[in-house]
Amino acid sequence: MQNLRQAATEAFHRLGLKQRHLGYEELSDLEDSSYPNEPQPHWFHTLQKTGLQFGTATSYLNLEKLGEGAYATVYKGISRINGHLVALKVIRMKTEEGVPFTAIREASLLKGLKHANIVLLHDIIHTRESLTFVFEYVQTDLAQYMTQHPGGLHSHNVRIFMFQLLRGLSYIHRNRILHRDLKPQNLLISYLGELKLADFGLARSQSIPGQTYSSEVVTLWYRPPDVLLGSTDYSTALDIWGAGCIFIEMLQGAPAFPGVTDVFEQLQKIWAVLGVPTEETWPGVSEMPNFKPEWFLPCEPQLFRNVWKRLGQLPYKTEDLAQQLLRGAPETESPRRTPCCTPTSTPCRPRSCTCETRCQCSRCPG
Amino acid sequence: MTQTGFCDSRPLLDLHKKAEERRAPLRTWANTRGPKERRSLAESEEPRGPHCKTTPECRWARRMPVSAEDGIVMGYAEQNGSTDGREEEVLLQCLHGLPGLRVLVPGLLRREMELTMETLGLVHDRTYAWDIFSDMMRSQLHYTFPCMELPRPFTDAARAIVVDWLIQVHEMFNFSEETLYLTVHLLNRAMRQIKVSISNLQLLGMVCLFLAGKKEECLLPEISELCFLMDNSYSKRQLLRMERRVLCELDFELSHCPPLHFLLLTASIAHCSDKVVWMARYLLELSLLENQCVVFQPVQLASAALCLARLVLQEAHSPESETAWCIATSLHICSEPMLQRIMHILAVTASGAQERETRATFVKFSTAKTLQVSGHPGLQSAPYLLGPGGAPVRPQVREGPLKGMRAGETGHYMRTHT
Repeated sequence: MQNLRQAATEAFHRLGLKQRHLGYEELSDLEDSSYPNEPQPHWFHTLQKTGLQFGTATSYLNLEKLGEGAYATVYKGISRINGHLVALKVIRMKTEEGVPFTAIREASLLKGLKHANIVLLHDIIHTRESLTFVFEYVQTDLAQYMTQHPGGLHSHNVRIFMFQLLRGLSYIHRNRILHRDLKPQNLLISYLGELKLADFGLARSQSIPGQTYSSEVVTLWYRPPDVLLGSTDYSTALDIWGAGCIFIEMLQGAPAFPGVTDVFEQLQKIWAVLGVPTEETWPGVSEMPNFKPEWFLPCEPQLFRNVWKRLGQLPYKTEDLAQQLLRGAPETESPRRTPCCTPTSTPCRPRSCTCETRCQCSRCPG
Repeated sequence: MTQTGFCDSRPLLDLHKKAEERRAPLRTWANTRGPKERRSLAESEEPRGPHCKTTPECRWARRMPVSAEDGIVMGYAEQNGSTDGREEEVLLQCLHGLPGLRVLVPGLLRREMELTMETLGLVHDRTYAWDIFSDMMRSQLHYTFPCMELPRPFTDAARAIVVDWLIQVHEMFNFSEETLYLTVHLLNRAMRQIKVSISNLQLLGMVCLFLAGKKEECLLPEISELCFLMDNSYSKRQLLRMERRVLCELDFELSHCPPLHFLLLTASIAHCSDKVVWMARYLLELSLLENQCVVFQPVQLASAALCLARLVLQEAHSPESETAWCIATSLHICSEPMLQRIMHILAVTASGAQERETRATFVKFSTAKTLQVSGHPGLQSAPYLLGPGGAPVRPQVREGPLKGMRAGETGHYMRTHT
């Protein structure tokens, strides 16, 4: 126990976060005072009925519509069992194919994932007409948060979010799962500043040799060059690239590579920064399905701090991290572990990510 | 022969490892499994420790049960009764207190494992390989069933027919092999949890295949195609209703750890020839048809299939391949009688595969692509290669342990039935 405490304090210390906010003492206080003792709303008794169970539709109350996805509609709701706010994801059934495969993958993967930085699936409700997933309710997402705070986030917040994002990624990668659809809309932010990965509809667990994935994954802006070039044997590097794009976007307040129309424009944007790859810098690039060198303007690699001005105002380590995350050519010789270091402070070793500390942060000012 | 090979390679382990790796805490099965397995683990790990100079012969025979001289294996099983087990437990406890705990970390195995997982494409990051492998070993325990009895309307024969048909449909769709293993696993669970009439068993099987496909595959067949394959005896609506029902009853838990992964891992660490691997894959797929195999862990099935494949093919082994095999067999976490029992089941199944009604697997593995393993003449006499159950090859050696094993076997059998 003592070791764990020390490890936690050290980890946070290395993070550069104030002990006052995040020391283990405070964490345990927070945990003690969390949900069970939380005073229930004064109107709660009006909702409560006896004999309510998990898994039934009557146990939840729809409040308002939050959004619409490709295969589901999300509502804000409240649980009549314990009064918690929940997000209800109502899956649309398709008559031609039954339960959408995205829903099946999301539920079966999330069932095996329990982590502070992964959205929690509370319950699944089956009714005759519909299927509803009950998630924990998280107030906002990174896209909204960035719209509310235009012009780039405070570097401390970037650090906090980035740490949590990489920790979440490290956790799912260790569980053989690729997220495959990282974008700010899929990163939920609670009012405590916790970041949670959500929307595992496109995620899948890695499996065997020779198995190819479809290359139509990941919103174009957050797609790594090898996938844009038509590679289908992608790996954890796919999510790492997405994390890199989000990192730059948080700092700059604008997407790192905002392509507009198609794959080629997207590649052009990326290579304007990284330089057009050649056989020397990326062995095998000329055999990629979409690689047509004559289509691209010749570009030299740029310094990141010249492209993204905000990097110039921060320590070199920040640029280092960006460079680690955004690599043009896939690694061949040394495989890389999901870098779990923090942008503007000393990198903390991967081990600190494994210790069971909940990264609860104080309220994040813009 | 083999022990020298392995012992020679032992010092290499730590020398070429980085200081950081050496300090890594012990993360072996010993930490993750119950006391019973822990003991068998202690046996297999000991030769690497400093205390193992005493009885290397027996221990090595233990580690490579099949390829060793029969007499040693059986003799060892006899000598080492309960006393040895207790001794080892004590020894293990002592070792836990030692500072040099890392000596016990199967360093070579770990390195081999990481490399292999990467080359097989099971992981994309070698740095995660060990974590993922430990997780596989832990999670595979959940994919066995406590008893092999099927609920009332179903029989083993009915199940075998459905599985055989699913194997054909699966082959037609060109699905990956994981999908097949997942399908049969889902079917096993669904048959135990969902009450359906025997006339709907085919529908249930198809739904399991459909769900497994949705989980694993990129391209899915149309529902009408599925109905057509079932001779239109069920409507689309029935199929969709059944899908919802299965998902609901299985509570969306569709994860699985196919024995095939363990097989490929072990085979690749052991540098087995293509023929052995195909033979083992054939035997492993045959195990899907056998309802009595559901009580075994995936890793046990994989080990047994590989051991039997080596036994049947009787290839000549170089010292290097023997060494590799020794390293690989430390993955086998099942006891000797258990291994023999599974191998016996597989051998009997394989010897009768050609005459059976359910011969989709036999046909599938008789093509040139699969090196025609299913037609190998050695399979006919496979049960005789093994001691218990079949005709004993060397009765004078096997007499003692055989009796004990039989008793243990029936005892276990009884337990699983009650």
